[in-house]
Amino acid sequence: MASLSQSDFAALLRRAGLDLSETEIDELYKGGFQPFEAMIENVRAGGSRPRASEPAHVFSVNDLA
Amino acid sequence: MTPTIAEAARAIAARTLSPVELTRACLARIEARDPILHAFILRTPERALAEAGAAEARQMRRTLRGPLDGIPIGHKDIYATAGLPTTAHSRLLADHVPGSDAQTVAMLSGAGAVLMGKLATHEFAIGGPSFDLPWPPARNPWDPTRFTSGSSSGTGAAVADGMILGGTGSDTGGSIRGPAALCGIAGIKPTYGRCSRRGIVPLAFSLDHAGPLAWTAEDCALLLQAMAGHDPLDPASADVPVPDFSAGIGGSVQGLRIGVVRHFHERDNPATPACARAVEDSARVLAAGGAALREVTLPPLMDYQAANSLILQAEAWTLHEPWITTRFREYGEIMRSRLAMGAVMSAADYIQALRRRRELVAATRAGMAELELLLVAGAQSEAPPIDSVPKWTALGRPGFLAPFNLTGLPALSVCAGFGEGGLPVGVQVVGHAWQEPIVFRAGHVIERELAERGRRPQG
Repeated sequence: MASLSQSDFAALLRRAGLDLSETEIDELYKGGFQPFEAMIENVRAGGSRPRASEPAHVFSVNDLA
Repeated sequence: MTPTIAEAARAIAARTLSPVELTRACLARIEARDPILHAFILRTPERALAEAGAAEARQMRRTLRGPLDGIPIGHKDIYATAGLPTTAHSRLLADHVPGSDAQTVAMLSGAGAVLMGKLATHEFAIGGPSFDLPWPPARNPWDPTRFTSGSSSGTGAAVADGMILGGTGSDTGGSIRGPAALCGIAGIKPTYGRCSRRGIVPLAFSLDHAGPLAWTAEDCALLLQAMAGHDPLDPASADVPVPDFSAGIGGSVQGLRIGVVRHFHERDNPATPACARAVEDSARVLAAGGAALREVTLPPLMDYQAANSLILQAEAWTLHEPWITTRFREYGEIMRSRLAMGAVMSAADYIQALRRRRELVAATRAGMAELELLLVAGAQSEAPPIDSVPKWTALGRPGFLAPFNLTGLPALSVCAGFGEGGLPVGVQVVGHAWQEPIVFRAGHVIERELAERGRRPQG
């Protein structure tokens, strides 16, 4: 996964409905997003996960019983 | 000194302790200490005395409801309390007064516990310690310049200081066990599904656990007894039998097979000497009691932390989206900064985290296959200065607590001694799903040998 640029990061925040100042975006990007992005990479497991690997939460028909 | 719940219950049953006098003593302690520690958001002294009076009447009639009858407790201010403000420590809910109790609040009330008030939390159980909210953050009674950890910060402070004998917390990434470790008390995150979440302000649906904090493991067992049970109105609540959580208290650990997870605190996130020593001291005590210990290796701590954090962020963003997009600056700075990360995740990121969760559950189960328990460090360090806590704590260094939110396994934090500056250090005892009684048994042994339960904060 390509690393997200600060301008792309700002665009995602705006798309989500957050109207932030440049200073706020800068702080979120440099302080929070970079380690957060490393976590996103971590759970992708380098693309080595079997294609059919199930998530922890799957729909159960028992929920409708 | 404030008695434990077990001690007070015995004395109340024997009619040598008045619930009203016990409540008055706690109120006096709150009056003296809360202006420094800020554990309470709301105090309810009139209600407490009325409830204590009712307990005393039952005491006189010999119709006590059990060991919690007449015991002063407090609720983390994300637990709904009918007719009392439930703020989540946020200005967004400053005027919120629920019409009904959370299920666990009703259960504790039904057991006769006396409500002393509502306790400080991190904003919505994630944003803190914050100094820009309507109420200040709780402070550590062992040293009020220090952090309590969070988010069940008020409960940790109030219990450690003896203002209350026990209280409620919630744990999505460690929010019961963190304050337990840094405040030198006990706190259990029970098995996911053990306690109803209904009426508790949610943070992340699939990671939120309700549970108690108290001075000892034994007291946590007594509180959990009243909080546990199937709630058909909570979709995550499990319809499983509720055992006697106190059954093993005082019992032997002879023959228990326990895995010591050293790589978490030695390699993945190196702990201070005192926190590392607490693990070794606990291992020694358990071995001396006849347990069979061996080292066990689980997946890297960051694997657990990453999955837990991403699931938490996605679910928390979903919950807060209507407000954070319209009332962003009404949140505290820490809360809104942490929440904002959820805005930039994709659906695939969330699903990948859920896939990783399944893998980690399987790997943890395999690591525990021939063991009854794990012994894990409780915190990376003694309580740091309250003004030094970084805004993105969980993103920087993986904590020792999140693995058991992700896996849902029961995890008890107990005090295992004292470190730098006389500040407490804790360890975690982790069991298989639904095996809380064994967890309490081992936690009690560690506590009895290492925790110096006769030692309380001064002041």
